[in-house]
Amino acid sequence: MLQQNRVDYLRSSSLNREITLSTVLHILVGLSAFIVLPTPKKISLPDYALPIDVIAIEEFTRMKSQDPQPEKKTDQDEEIEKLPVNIRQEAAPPAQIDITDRMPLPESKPKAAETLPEQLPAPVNLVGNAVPLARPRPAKPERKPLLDTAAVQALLDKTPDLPEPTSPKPLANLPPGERMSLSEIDSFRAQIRACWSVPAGAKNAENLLVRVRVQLDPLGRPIAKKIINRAQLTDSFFLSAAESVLRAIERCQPYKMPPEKYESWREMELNFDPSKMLNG
Amino acid sequence: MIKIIMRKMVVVLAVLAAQISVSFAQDLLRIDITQGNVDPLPIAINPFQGQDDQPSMIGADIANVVKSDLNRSGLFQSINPAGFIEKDLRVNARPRFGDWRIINSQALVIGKVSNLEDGRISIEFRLWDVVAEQQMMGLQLISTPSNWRWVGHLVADAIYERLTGETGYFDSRIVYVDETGPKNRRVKRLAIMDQDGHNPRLITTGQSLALTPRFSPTAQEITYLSYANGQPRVFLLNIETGQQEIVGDFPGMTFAPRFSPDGQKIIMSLERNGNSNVYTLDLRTRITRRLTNTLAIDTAPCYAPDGERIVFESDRAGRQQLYVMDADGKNVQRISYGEGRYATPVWSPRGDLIAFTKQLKGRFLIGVMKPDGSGERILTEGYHNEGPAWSPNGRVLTFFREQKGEKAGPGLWTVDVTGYNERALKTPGFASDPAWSPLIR
Repeated sequence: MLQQNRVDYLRSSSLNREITLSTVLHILVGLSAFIVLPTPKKISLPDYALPIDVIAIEEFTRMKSQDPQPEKKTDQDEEIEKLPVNIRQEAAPPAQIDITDRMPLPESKPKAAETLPEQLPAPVNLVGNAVPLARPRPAKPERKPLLDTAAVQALLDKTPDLPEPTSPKPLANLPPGERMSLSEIDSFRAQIRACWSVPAGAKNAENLLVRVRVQLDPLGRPIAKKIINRAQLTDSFFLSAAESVLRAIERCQPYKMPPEKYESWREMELNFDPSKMLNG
Repeated sequence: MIKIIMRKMVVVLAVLAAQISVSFAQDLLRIDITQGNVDPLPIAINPFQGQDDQPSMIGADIANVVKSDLNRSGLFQSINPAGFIEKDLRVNARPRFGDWRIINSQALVIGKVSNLEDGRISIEFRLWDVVAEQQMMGLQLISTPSNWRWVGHLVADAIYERLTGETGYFDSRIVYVDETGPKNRRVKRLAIMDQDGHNPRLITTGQSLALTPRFSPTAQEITYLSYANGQPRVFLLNIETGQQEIVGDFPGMTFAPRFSPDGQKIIMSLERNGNSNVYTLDLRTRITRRLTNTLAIDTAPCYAPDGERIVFESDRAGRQQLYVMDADGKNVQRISYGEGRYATPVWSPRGDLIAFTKQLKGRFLIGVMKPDGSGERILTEGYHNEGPAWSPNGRVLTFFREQKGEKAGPGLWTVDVTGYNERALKTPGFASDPAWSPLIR
């Protein structure tokens, strides 16, 4: 009996313990779920207005009078790309050259230094500095961001607030009816193909793979794009290829996508890979 | 008890960890885009504005030079100005990008020419990305009015470089052999012109035959071969000053030598006792060094742009093929294995390709291959194509093509490295043996 009671007691208190433990663990799981699972982030859609400048005639005449003279760049704070340039005045070579009076013997003499014959004007180094132009002062009051060589990256980084990798719903969790079919994916590929110019003759063109993460709004318009493989951006060919990809994505909108499957295509990763096209 | 709890905690943590990795796992739709187009980039180029007649005319001329350079490259397509919606756009104003997008322009060029007090002109321009609505480049150049064509080429180069990532090539010249007279008694003189065919002029008299001009990589100088009294003699000619000097008499030479990339040496092939070998000549010390030592005909050598290797043509394996060796003559490797005879190899200034002439079944082909011999591609074929020469950026090849017939003669052509955009280069008369200068700037 005592044995039985003890068993009962044990059972009941172990039962209590189990219940307590279970409750504690459930709470923990609930808490962890609360912490770990993402909150769907609000994506605010920018206004898509057609840019229409309404300029009163007075503004226009004011703009004209403000037309700056060839600007000296000292008052500008932005530096745009510099292209070192030397423009030499072309020394017009004579149509015929009389070579009879040139007689250096090759074996004994070292290569003669170039001397400028007096009758031809010496090449003149004109202003060697190509001065970078300032950003325009727009008539509108809005302030444009600084553009420097590093800001070419800003050109590519269209999404300062592109959310960190959190998918609204993992693809695997989507029911089959909400996932893009192969033919729908192909249709998207066909749409973007018309706009993507492959950098065919670039150096090592087959290695110019550009990876972009894109967010689309429900109407199939890109609202955010970001180059993922940014390490190669210092290569001018890659930069050009990346810009071309971003232009392509922007130009071919709106993309015809199945609206009921928006969850699967609202955010995508696109790999623009020219190697297959170029290697035949 | 504690053990039980601990064990359970481990399980929970494991589950949590799994949850975390799942939620951070980027389960995004990933699509590979492997097909695109190779269409030229549509670009709108406005005539550069000027306040008076003279700057306006210069501005229109500069814009035309930019337009034809970019169009001729095959990578751009300038939009007909008749279709522009926004007109009279000022260089310091922000464009109405919608107007340019409607006409399908992806890039926009606006410029201005102004007179300066000292008689020079200032040329400013901006390049806009119409799609991203951002300025890509803004530049000001100052020069004399008579240099407008040169300025146009520099502007075209800047735009080309910014949009393609390639170095430009419009600011360069082509030297070639101008041929006149009947086919069996041609007078061959050296001529030079801008790379677009403008400003052609002769630079030798024609008293002796002038052949195979080659440009120095470092200066506006060329070497060429001339036969004085039947003896081949190599001359060095400075394009800008017109000054010439004799490099030497080289009996047995059939091609003019090429320069090394640092301009300090020349490399050539000399024939002795029925076979031909590759030699270098140091222009300062005048020391000649023999690099190949076979009984075969080794000829037409050309340095790689880094000066470390040399490509040349040899028939040591029975038929003319291409070989690559180190600059000291060691490590000779054959790189061409296709059918036919390979000749006149030239290493691209970009370093990534070697162009060559190939003869196959009576046809002449111009092709490129990688320096290891892989990736052979034919760019053009014809009755008689020969003598490819690279543009300074390694993107375009020029070559000459003979036409059939008694009255016909050779002419110059250009083709893009992709094989597209084959174009004739207009010369006053017949022309052969082109050589492309480095960038003049």
